[in-house]
Amino acid sequence: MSETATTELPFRERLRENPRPALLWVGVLGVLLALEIGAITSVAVTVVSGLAGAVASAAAAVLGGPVVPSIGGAIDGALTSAAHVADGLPSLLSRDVIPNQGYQTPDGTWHGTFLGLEPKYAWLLRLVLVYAYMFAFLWWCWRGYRVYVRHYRFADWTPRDDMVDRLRTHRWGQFGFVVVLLFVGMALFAPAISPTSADQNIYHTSQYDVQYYDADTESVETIAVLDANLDSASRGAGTTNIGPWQYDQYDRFHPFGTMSNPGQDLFTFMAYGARISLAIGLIAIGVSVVLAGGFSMLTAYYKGLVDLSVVFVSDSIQSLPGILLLLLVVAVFQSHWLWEIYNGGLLLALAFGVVYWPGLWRAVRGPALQVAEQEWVDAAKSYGQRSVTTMRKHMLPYLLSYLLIYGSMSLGGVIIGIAGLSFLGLGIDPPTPEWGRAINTGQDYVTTPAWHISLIPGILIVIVVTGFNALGDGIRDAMDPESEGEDAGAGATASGGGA
Amino acid sequence: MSEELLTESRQTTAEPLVEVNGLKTYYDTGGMLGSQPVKAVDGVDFSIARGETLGLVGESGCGKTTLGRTLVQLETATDGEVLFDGRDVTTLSGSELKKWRRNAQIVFQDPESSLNSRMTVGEIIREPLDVHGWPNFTVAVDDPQDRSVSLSGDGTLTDDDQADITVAVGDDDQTVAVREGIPMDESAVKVSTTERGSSVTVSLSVGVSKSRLRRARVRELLKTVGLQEEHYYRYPHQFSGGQRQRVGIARSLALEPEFVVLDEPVSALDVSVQAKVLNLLEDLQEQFGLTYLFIAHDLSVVRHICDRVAVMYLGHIMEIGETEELFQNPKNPYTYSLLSAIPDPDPETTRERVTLRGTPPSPRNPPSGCPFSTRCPVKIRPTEYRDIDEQTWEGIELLGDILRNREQQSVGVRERAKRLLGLETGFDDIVDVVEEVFMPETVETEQSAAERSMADDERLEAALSDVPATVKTHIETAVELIEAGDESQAHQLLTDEFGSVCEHESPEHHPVSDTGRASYCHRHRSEYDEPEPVFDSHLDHD
Repeated sequence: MSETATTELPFRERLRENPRPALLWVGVLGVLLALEIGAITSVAVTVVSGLAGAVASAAAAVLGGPVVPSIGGAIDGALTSAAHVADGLPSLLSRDVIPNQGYQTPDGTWHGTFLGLEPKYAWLLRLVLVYAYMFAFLWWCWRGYRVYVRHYRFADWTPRDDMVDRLRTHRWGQFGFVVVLLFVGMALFAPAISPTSADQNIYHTSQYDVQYYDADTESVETIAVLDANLDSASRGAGTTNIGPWQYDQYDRFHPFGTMSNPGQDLFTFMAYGARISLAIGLIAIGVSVVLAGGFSMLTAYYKGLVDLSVVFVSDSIQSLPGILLLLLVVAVFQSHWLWEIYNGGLLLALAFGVVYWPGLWRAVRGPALQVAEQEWVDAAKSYGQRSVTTMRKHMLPYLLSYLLIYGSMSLGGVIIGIAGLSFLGLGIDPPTPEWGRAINTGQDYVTTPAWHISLIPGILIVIVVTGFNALGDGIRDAMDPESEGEDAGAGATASGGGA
Repeated sequence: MSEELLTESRQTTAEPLVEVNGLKTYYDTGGMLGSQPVKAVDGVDFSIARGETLGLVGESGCGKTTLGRTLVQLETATDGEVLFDGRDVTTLSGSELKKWRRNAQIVFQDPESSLNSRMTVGEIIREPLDVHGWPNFTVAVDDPQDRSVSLSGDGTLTDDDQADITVAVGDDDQTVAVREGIPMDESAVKVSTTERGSSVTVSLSVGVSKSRLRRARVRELLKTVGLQEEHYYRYPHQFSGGQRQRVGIARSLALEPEFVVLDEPVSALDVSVQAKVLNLLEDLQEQFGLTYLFIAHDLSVVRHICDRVAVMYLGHIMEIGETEELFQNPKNPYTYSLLSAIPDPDPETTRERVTLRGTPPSPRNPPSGCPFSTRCPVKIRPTEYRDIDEQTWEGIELLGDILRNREQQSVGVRERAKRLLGLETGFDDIVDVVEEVFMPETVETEQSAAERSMADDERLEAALSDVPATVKTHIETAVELIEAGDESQAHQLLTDEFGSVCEHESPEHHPVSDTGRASYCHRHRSEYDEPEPVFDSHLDHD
């Protein structure tokens, strides 16, 4: 009976009974978070202000009138001050703490860089530290799960344990996982890992200066970033070319080289571009996963007319060429207020979501129909469970794995699709960085020494998309060991939006 | 109370718990094309007394599972009514239906599929309790002075004698009684009363959270079905088939139902485990006074556990009555054939095995008249053909059966188009069919080259050489019609000529014994011979 008494305890009391492991874990987590508190709050503020901006412009468009600007102004003011507070918070791994921008005097010493290191090494150090921090943080989260399993979970085994075990031996999936993490890290920590900031190097180049040592005047001179960029642009044979892993004449280090016009740092461009790609990809896949998952459960549970109408709608959408639909959206909404949000990113994401859900729905429809036929769904009905709860409790857990697999595989497709649109000169407007536009601007120089402008983003896209597919494969094999070897995900593999 | 007395009391219970009248459940899988619905249950009447176990047996696809599912409202009845305690439940919907569902539960056949493998056993058994907000804390107040009573705090007032909490109001203090099904101590309930003139207000507070009570209830259920409390946090994967079925049983009992449909609860289990689960079901019935509908195709299991048995064929109940009596002395031809399939350990037994021809007809297109008429070994024959030999009669029946099946199949669009274009006239091989039907032995042996080279006319002549002249002319006419492409006409001709009351009229349920046994067969009418002697004479012939 004593055993019953202990198993009776709710989670809170189990924690109270044995608080040591949990406290230890929370303590270390707190330290890890404190290291980056500034970055975390600024990301949070950015997200919130992005959302608020979207809401405000939507409200302005819908309501109009004089009421909205005042509210919008108030929100805007609050957010701006929040952003200031966030900027004031210290972040260990930031450009301020480990600066990589400086100038070299003729005696060979560097001024302004971290510990007087060469900018190359200062930057590299920051990059490595940022990724080390990220992996350490994730590893600590994983440790947290292990602590929970060992000390606080009742069940000595759950079906999830087997999935985790299978994923731990799945090398291809792990490769995908690491690639995806590197990509996500690039997007999340873009301000910290790029050699310079987007604001300085892309958006407001005329407002910032760089200091450099001028050999002619034998003194430290100052030049606007705008002019420095124009001088250090890579324009192929016969002119200046700053290739990968080179310094320009202003002692700025460019890990990926510079772009053609107006000579921005390619790595900075890529890091901030990863944010856009990831954000659009996640929103688009999020929209299509929600639509596909919801519809698949509704159609499998109710069948009949509901099923037929969804088949009809999805067939109609699939019968349109996706890329044409996207071009149409871009053309029609060019001057609409929706286009303002995130330089057209939100609208594109929604359009991708609408284009992608029928494929995703078709992929999970089969599994959904299968689950709906299980007797436990009938059992739930027999004791009067509500249909929505039945779908959530008894069907969704079985579909989630499929949605995750197909979602991660289609994400690569969305990234390619957006890059494709930008490559065509549509999609995300300049100056917002986007990988596809880098390829576009660099295509004239592919055969010249400035080959890096097109090639590096192109290769990165291939690696990232492969990584998402590999992750999807890994999840699939972990969730459903019987499918190993079969090509269940073939249909969802990135088809690239046709571009 | 001894077993016999129990049975006695069950029979004398005048009021049935479940009463089914003219129940029909059709599946309309044809969709928009408006084809024939599948008549899974096609007009069924029976009743189940409180505390009784009614067995439901039949071949696969006879509609027994559909009938069970319709009783617990998992399928919507097409027609007819299901009276539960005198109330028609087929018309219930919404919250009424949900409330009623507490009373009727189902145990599924496949324990693999009936438990959600992503949930722990505890969560699975607990879910019905969560759905119905169990325990609802219905409170009955027992006031000797019969004042008007109102309740404040936890619980809802009820007049039901099955109340969760009963409060007896005394002069100075109150005594509290908690129903046995709720794992809560009386001391957990705090009661106080305020009297105001002719009315009394009882304020009641329960000191235990519902979720704790539910967990305790699940533990209790786990013990009741022979599992251990520690199994609460295990997953279905970690159990054997028998244990999983116990979990399914625990879940169906969670809401304390009165009526449980057991849909082949032991069919998927090992034989050694079957007995244990059956014993458990019997114990639970005794403990909780449950009423069972036990669906099975294993006749020995049914004989072991059921008080009464209903035999189902093609959506109809062919015979229903006391188990032992029905097994000893089946009256309906179908029951007779079915029971003859049970291997008899006694080597000196006289009963011979009846082998039924073919497979049951499609429930989408059941035969006219008696559903068993296409396979019945003792079908009533028209008077003029009563004396023709078995083999010929078998041949006629088979030919009719083949034509019937072809009629159903030949609705394909291609087939119809072909016929319209005159490309194909149905069967080119009718002579082969006639040969096979009337001379099965010769067809089985190697046909000589000479025979194969014979003209169709000659082969037909040879095939029908043993057939009496009266029959022969009709068969020949039918063959001619078929060759001309008019199969339905040919079928009509055979039915008109060789058919009887079995094809023309639906039988009625005739009472066949004093205990209220009923059988669905024309042969119980006074003008025909009873099935059993006819069977005996047939079997003697062979």
